[in-house]
Amino acid sequence: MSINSFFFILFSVLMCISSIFSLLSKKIIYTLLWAMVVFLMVSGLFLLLGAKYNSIVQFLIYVITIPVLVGVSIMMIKQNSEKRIIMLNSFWKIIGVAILVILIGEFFSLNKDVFEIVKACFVFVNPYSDLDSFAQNILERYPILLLEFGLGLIITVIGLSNHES
Amino acid sequence: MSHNILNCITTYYYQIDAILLFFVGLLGVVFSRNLIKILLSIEFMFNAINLIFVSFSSYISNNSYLGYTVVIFSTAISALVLAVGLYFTNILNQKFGTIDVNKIYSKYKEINKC
Repeated sequence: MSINSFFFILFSVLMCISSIFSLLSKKIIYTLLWAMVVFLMVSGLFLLLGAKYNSIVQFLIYVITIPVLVGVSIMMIKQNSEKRIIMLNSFWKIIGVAILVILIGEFFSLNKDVFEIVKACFVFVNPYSDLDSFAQNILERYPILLLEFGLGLIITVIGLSNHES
Repeated sequence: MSHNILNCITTYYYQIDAILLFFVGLLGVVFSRNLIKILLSIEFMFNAINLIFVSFSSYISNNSYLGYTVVIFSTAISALVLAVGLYFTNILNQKFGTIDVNKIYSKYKEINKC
């Protein structure tokens, strides 16, 4: 089994399982967390297909921005005092996860060989897809479309902020 | 035989993955009652379609960036859809006190009857 196929199987299996879990979980916040895993796995699949730029955009928008947006709206919807007690109980769990993340980071930073192996897995994927040429292609061929989408985003933000409910 | 299949992952497998994700999203839209869950399921469907676009684009030609470009704009649209959907979710929560679709519908019917 090659490295490419190994990562494909890993990403696809995790994606399918976490998408089902996100639908089955009763609490909305767990739905959001499983959905984050799904989006991360889709980003990995984009990387395996050679679409590096799309993978970066997917990661930035779906794994970072949208969870913040949905999380804030969940906080606005759920304003119960019981939730705070639950959050206090899960304080040690959060510290445990943080320590685990730090340990994994230390492992990758100390063992440079491991980091090089992981980096090599993603570099070989598709040598033809060039990030610079893709960005240039967007700017040269679709500049008006890009501007229109930027304007659409601005209009939406202004419209949502000006509306008084 | 299985050795050969594992060594050559083609776009066919990516499309099967995408179809699975699309149907999970569709099930979420149809069967879940929570509005935020429905919105996230719509995002799953968007992601599945993006995956199909990228897989076809990488299959057809290595120098064609059309599929990749479509995916960038599709991502922007999906983010817009989610933002507006969450805004309406908040408004519905303020008005009806719940984000359960069935309860919102029943309350809406009660208000309209009176």
